[in-house]
Amino acid sequence: MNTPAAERTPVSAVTREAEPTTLVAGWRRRLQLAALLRALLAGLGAGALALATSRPLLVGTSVAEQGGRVAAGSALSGGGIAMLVAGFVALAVAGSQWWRSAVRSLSTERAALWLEEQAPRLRFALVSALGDDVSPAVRPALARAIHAVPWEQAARRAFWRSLRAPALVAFGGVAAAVLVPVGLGAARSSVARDRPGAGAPGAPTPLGSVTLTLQPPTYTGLSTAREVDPALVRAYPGSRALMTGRGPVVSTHAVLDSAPLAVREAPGGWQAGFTTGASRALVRLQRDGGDARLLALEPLVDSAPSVALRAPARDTILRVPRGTMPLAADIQDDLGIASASFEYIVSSGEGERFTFKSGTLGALPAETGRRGTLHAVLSLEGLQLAPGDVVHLRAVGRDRNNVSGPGIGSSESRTIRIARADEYDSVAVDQAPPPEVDESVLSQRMLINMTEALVKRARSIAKSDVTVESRRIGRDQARLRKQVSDIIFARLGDGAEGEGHDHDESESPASGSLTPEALLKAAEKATEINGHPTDFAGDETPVVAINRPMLEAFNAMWEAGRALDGGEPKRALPPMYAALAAIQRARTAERLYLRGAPPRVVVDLARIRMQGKDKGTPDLRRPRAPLDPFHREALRRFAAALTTLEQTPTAGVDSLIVLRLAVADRRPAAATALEGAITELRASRDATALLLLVRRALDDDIVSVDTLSRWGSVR
Amino acid sequence: MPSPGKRRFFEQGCRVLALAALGTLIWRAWRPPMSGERPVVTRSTASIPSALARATRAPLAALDLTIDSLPGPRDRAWARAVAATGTVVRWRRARDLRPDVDSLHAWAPLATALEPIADPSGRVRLVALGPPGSSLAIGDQAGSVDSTKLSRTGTRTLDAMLDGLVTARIPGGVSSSARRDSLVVRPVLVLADAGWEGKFIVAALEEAGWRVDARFAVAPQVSVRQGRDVPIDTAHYSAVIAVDASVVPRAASIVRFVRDGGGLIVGGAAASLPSLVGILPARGAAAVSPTLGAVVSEEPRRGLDGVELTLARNGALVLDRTAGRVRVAAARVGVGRVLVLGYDDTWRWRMEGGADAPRLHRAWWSAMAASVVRAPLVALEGTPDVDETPFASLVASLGMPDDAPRAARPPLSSTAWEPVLFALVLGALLTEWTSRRFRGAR
Amino acid sequence: MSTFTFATAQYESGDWDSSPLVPANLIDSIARYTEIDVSPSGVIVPLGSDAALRYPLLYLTGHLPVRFTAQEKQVLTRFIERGGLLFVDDHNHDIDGMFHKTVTEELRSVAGPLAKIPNSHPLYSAFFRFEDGPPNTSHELNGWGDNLLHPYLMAAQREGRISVLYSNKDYSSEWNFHPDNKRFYSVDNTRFGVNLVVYALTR
Repeated sequence: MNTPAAERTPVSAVTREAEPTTLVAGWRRRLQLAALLRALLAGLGAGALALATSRPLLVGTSVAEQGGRVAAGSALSGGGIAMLVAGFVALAVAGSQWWRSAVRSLSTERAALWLEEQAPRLRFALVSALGDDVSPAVRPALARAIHAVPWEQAARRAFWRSLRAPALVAFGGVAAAVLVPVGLGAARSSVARDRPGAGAPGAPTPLGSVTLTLQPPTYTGLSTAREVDPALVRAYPGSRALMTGRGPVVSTHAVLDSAPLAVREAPGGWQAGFTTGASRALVRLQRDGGDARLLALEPLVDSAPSVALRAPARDTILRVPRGTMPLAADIQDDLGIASASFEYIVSSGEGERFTFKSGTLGALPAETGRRGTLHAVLSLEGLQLAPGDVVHLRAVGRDRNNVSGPGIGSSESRTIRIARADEYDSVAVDQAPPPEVDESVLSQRMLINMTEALVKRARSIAKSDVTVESRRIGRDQARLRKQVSDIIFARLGDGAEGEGHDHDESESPASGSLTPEALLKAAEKATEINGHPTDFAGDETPVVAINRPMLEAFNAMWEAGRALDGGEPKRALPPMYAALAAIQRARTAERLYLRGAPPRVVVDLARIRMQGKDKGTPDLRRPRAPLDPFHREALRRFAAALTTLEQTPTAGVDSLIVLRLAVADRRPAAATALEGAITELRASRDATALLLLVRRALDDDIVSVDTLSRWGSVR
Repeated sequence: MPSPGKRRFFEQGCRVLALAALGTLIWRAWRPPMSGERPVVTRSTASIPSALARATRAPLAALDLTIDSLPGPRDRAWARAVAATGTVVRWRRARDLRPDVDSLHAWAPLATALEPIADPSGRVRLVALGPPGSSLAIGDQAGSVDSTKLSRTGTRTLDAMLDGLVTARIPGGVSSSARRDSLVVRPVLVLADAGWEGKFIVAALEEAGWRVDARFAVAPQVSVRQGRDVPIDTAHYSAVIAVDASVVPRAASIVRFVRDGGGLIVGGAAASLPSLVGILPARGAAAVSPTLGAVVSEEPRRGLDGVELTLARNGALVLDRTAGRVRVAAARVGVGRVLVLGYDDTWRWRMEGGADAPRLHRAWWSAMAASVVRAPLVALEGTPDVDETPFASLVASLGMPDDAPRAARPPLSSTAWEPVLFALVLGALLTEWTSRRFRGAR
Repeated sequence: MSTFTFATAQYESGDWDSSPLVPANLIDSIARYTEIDVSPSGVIVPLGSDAALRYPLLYLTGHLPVRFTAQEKQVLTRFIERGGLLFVDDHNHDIDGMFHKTVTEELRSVAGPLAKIPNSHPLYSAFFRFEDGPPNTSHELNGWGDNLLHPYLMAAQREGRISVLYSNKDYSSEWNFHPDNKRFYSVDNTRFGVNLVVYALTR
């Protein structure tokens, strides 16, 4: 019966452990480590081989076309699945290797036997030394026999030999994974790095990532921008674009619309440059036998400066051309203002003889940015203006666009006219801003004040006094009313007469001065031609259209006058207020005729109809083109792009890019939605909602009614 | 050991048994179903095909189909064929339908029809009928087109560009339809004096894509012409638009054209011409003063000059009114259509109207023309299979649902006896043969 | 009835009324040669008013610089988009004149660039035949203005139709006489105006 070692003499135990047992235990651990290494190497090799074989199958052309950047949907999952498969195979192989290795349950005795196998000259001394039942007397002899043999060298050789095959497997697998043509970006990069600028023998190299560096024109003041793999680039015309990428130069081609671009060698790959134009364009990048990519170019519009003339604020008529006139204008531009000035044109003469002179005034400071204010002073004496001359004035701004411009913006123009001496004798010429109305305003306000005071005092004074006072105010009101009627007829200016000034001020309305109806009738009569009123804006005769506020004032004054004459000042107040309000409106009314109304000739159609000596000839008309034949075509192309998208995602995205350029002008909403959809698809995100928006924006003419027609359309 | 006589008797018995079993099998295969037999019951639409297959293999007395979604055209036709063989086929709705679809209207009566319209831009008209107020989603092969609701009367008409198979969905129901026909639309002839109305009518129609011939009378014997000088007949024109009195010299041929099936639109200025009055659905009566400013309002046609119309023909329809006055009326005349407008200067709508006025004016004139043109249908080839009226077709095939509660009985295995009978045949024949061999006979 | 009314555009910046008898003269010619329903007198319509849209043919002339206001530009843009035709005649008959310089600049901003129209244009055959293009005016022949014979008219077109017709030929002077005096002319010099109106009414 064996006794436990611990219960034997400690000395013998220590001696035994210090010698063969310790050595074998150390080798046991090494053998276990070797088994683990073999399993790991085998797993690595198998996993790499699995990756090398599965990746081309799963990733396919998607990765190739996108240069490792996933386009739409399946490409990323293909690469991921390949990695998962490789990992699974590696784990399975490593695990099975480990499981199958005997080392998993390696005992010290089996380790000793393995060592004995490597060094037969030990003649089982090592195994024997480990036995529990070895006599202490024999142990020294065994130890000597063990030490006499150089078994550890043989064991080491065997140790390393056992790792050789798994290492070869691992190396082979990794090499395959690295060298298989459609592989990881690292593999392509290494190829590109190894042979920059050289043609790739064998399988085509994908385009990979393309970087676009965009340098806007100097005048924009914008900095250079860089973008990786853009689908759409917006640039000011004249921008310098430089595309760079990796891979061989000779097999890389770039075409701007139909013009080929020069592709040159660059550090680490290729580059191609071009200048952006003023219209939309497509750049097509192509790798021989490999993938292609589209880049849409959309020009940004440099807006013309916006110019607002602040002074003079309105047109002016001057009696004499003396003094100076301050000029001011605000100018702003989206990129920068180059220059600005006031432009004037002086026109002199009349009838068929006119002479003109023009010039500029003022300038903006040199360093004006995107907005500025232009100031100048116009010397009227300096222009040597004569009566009847007209100065046309406006501010003009120019932007810094030296590529397609400059963009020129201008303000509204103002006219400054020098009055002729004779025009003050005529009512048929320009109606100056109405000072006479202002006088009426003051008078009407004064009359209202007087009437209000009378109403307040009415309770404390006799009724007869109220009546006398009221009639006195009524006479003033009648005087004002006559002034208003003069204004109305002065504006009409065609021989019409207002209420006679020669009438006595105290004359009652019934004794010769016009009633409102009579006044209106007389006024309209002045504009009638053969009983038909001359057409005018708003279906009104000119006298009504021009003088509507003044006519209202006239009517109200009439009502007020009657009430005042009847001794009822309280009843007179509402129409007096109405008259004041109407006069105020007249003051703010728009400018009237620059000149008097031209003569009117009425043709007697019945007399001359078909009396001409010459005869016309029949003619042919050419049909107009349908307004939007593009509508249906765009929908058809969109449907085709969706079909392509399902079959070949990258080609589908390219179709959408081209469609986006086509619809940008006519269907901007669809273009915006398409742009979003392209971005989403390129990022492998769901673009369904955006594609729906595109569809709706393209077909924006849906007619939907909730009834059935009683009058069907098809027979 | 039985005697040879007894054994022969036994063998005879086996033969008789085999023949009897065989006869029973043959009889079961050919017999008519018996009325007293218990029906086969299905529990869902998905199990209908297997039940129909059984009923096809062996006649059944009755087949009770429980439906939780509308069966497709194939299953409907199959069920109808089975019913035609004498099997009573009934159907009812499953009791565990969702509440929102558990009604006859919820998933039953969605029906759609896709019809061509005389629209130059190529739009087609989808007419949908279904449960009132249902949400309706419409899509075609290029994706979703529109989402809308059926009206309170359960209708919706949609004019849009629709390609291929068009699918309409409501909660619990789906219907598909496709174009079966196209139209032959010949040019429209516009007859007018040289003037704004004629010019802008032609412009609107041409911009909308119509092929237009025109005659603008300028002076005696002088006109501006567009298109060939051909007779006014249905072989050359689909419709005539008579804007004003310049139509008078051609009135007789226009009347003939309409009676032959052509379309006619008569402008307000020609609505009282004696030469046309015989075919007009309405005549111009009192002049209508335009409402000032209305041309830029939501009802722009109120701002147009013209005449009030009085109906002058049985069957005339009023298509448009402003302020209660009839402004557009239409009627069928023979096989043609005539539409009278009570508007004189619709061009003012285009020129003076709101921001969208040119498009609305164009669409209005295009719709007017589309509603009268003679446009014969031409069948399209290769129309896809569609299911436009799934519920109606189901009812047409199998009748109305039999919704009486029915105890869920296990389906009778009417064919359970067949293997027994077959085994009996084989067993009897084998026994008879063995007995003969053992006694040495052949 | 769709009556044609000859409309003169009244703009704010210049002498829009420099040819007051042209409307009557053209109305007279339209009545003499055609059956077109025409108003017996013309109207004056502010270019900055929506009322301008009631008259799809507008006549604009003058000698002085033309600077459209923002409102005038807005109305004119709508007028052109909707199918109107603006006939602009340089009353100075001077391509170096201020009217020409300013109005062409303004028109470019609202209707696009003006381009020569060929002498085979339908405008020259709409009613009378003008094989050699626009008829010359006595003002041109007399050497007034820029002392040039302008053999063509210019136009901005939209959808194949003239939207702005521009003339340096000074028809505004040529046609600016009372129609009763037409009897003194052996050849009616306003016949081209009939073509203009017929073109506007039928294209």
